[in-house]
Amino acid sequence: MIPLLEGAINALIIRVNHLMTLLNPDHPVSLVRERVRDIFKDLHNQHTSLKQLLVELEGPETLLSNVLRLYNAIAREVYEIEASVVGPLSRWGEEDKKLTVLTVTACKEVKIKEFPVVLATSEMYYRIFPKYGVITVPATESRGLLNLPDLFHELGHYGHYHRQKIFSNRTLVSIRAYLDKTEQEQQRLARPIKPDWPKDFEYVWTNRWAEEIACDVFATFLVGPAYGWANLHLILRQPTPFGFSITHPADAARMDNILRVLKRMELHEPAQEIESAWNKFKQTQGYQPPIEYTFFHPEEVFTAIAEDVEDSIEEAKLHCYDGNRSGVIQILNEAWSRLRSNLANYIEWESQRIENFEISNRI
Amino acid sequence: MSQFARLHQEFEDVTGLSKRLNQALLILKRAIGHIEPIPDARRQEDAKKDISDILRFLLEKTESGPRRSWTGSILDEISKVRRRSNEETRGELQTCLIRTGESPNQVGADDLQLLDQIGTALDQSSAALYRELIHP
Repeated sequence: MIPLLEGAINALIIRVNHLMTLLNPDHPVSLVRERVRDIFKDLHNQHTSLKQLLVELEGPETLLSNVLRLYNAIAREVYEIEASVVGPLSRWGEEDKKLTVLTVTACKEVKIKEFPVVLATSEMYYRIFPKYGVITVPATESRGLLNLPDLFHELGHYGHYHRQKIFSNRTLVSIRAYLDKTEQEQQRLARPIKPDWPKDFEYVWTNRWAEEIACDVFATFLVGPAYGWANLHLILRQPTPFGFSITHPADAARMDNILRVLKRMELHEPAQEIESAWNKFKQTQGYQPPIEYTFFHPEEVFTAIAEDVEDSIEEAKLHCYDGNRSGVIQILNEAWSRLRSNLANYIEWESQRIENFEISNRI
Repeated sequence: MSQFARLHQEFEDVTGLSKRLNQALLILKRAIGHIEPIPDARRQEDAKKDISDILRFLLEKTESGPRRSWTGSILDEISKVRRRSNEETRGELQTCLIRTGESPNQVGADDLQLLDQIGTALDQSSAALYRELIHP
């Protein structure tokens, strides 16, 4: 066992060294340089820990299980850094630059002060690695405008981990209050609630869903109707809007919530347009919510989250969408408007806007 | 638009705790077993503090209230291995916390076994989250 573990630790040290050679500490883009500096620091720490493990291996057998578990943890972290950030950053190219420029410009518009690097390397959809300030998106995202509002959802996660929590006490109190209320309804009015539902409800909302919903609200406040359209566009590609799981609240409830936030922002006309398309979609597809849908998606919890996020935006002095602003946010909203009103000229208009944008912005 | 950010954060938290606990256990085991090189007093103090922090964190997060994602499953896992109820395990964590806080000499074989079982549970949880990260 010891020779194998010793070999594995040495192989991991060599891997860490290779990873460091893949990154350019003098990268011409300052934002990338900052990320590289953070990653180097992490990799350097891993290197030191691995060297220490080799020393521990010389100890008695009683220490071996701890050495093995430490090796496991470090190995997972190293492979994870490689896959999620070092690999994508080492292949930094024009598409990444365009996306990062656009995101930084949009962040500045709404007064977000922490800028992520955006890389066109995701095999899935949009993803953020909050620790490294890296968002990955699919390969062609820099060539279109329609999905870009979703960047703001990821910026919500980034802010939540780096700046301040975008939801907090009010949300947690509302979850508890809802459960108390339903318990009473169950007793007094024999509301049909299965025994597991309250426990599952508290678990999913506290551990998983609240942050997702908060990031939807965050994006809606900052991007406005474009986020609603982008979300509906995303739902078109899902099997059913009413499906939900331990990790995801139902898309239908998220869409309804985005509409509520738009109305809260007094953007009644665009909210109505999106709502009308959304209702037509549901009607056409004929989807029906499962029996537990209503219990798991109470409006009061969504509202509490929206209030928490609104406070957090106000505290951070971020600029909410008001329909009048120029710049990236306006372009994203115009894109959705033109797509629906002037499809024939849309592609040409979109390419032109992206090209103009590249000329006028640099990082 | 996924749960990826939350999942990634959980992976970092669990893996970070696993590293901290095992590093501290290496120091504690050397100190208790007089294994050369015996860590100096400062390193022993740091290790004690790390272990106390982790025990306190687990106790706090598994207190009554909502079932927490990975902390809850760690308590379940330790209880299963020790054939105890979750409440009994919490009692043992509490006793271990008190003894660790006193001096390494007060930490017995039972405590070390419990701490190693926590280490294993954290390692398994980190591995499960890692699998979820790479194969969502």
